[in-house]
Amino acid sequence: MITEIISPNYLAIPEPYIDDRMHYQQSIKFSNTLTLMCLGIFLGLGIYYATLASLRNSLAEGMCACFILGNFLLNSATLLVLADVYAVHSIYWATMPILFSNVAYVVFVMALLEIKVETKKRLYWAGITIFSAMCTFIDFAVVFPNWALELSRYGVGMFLSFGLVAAITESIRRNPTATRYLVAISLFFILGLVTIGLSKIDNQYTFYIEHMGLVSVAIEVVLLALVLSFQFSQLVRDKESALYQPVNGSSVFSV
Amino acid sequence: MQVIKFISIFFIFCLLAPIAQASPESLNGKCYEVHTYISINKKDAFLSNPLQAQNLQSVDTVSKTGGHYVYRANFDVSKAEKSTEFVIDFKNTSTIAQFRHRIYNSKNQLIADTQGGIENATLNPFF
Repeated sequence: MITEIISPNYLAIPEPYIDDRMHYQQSIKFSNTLTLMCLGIFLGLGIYYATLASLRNSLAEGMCACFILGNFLLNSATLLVLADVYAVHSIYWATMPILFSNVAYVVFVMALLEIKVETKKRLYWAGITIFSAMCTFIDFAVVFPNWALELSRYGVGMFLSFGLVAAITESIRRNPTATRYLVAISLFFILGLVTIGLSKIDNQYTFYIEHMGLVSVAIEVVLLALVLSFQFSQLVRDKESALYQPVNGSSVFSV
Repeated sequence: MQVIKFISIFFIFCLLAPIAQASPESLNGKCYEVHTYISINKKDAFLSNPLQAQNLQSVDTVSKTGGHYVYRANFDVSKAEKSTEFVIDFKNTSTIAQFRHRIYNSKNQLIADTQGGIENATLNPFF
């Protein structure tokens, strides 16, 4: 048998294998279910965050929605949903969206943990540096599309490290949101590093590296839902305490 | 925290489900490089006769930044039952722009030729 492959990017090493049809048909059901289920999570939570962002005019939710949208597009393309179901035959949907969603994630972390130049100088400049590096990556990937996946791999490494460092330093400063966010990012950090580090999976024929990335992002966005709803409930609590317990006779105000 | 526990257990179940079964076989073939990625403007075509392709460099693995590769492997299905149908697919990744499988019999006659990939409009028999 001779197999030829032509592609501007390889996410992992494609290795042909042979299976009998009966067994193959059974085994791809599992991966397909996983794919559609996680894409469903992305779609649902993506719409939810987009609605929240437009209602509350908040950057964190908006960026989170962008991050999910990028991952939704990327995973639909790499796992052949776009190609097979919607007949979108462009490899660039499988490489470019993640570059944009990487940028969105960095902005999301900065908005969520309120990293501003006046209060958290070092984290702020680290964030800005990573942000501009990622924008350069996008330009570079447009000129050299075969580098797009490699660059997004570096980008994922960068935002994971930034998120983890920011979460740890902010948790030490007793920021309650950061403590919750630390749980979400730690798990994502491990799964994400495994995903970008692997180039093959032994003894698994229908579970691809793409699925690995899909599952780690799905877990991350579900955990982020917990962080954001915690933040929301804290906002409500703050508002109520401000309304009903005016401190030192100051006037009642509303948030 | 209950929710987190539930979700992680759920995903672990999902991951463990297919480990129990095994039947697919790696082909353990050899990989050859035709060339690495050239440019976006040049549409790459499949080799007209890969059996006679000369000067291909044997490589251990594909380049992450793309290219055109040939994979050669031999397999024997003579022991299988006559009615068995076989499927050839890639493991590890599904992000491949174009691929083409050509199967030759022991007399080097072409007996099967299929193609696919993200950029290939050929209909995929499976989802």
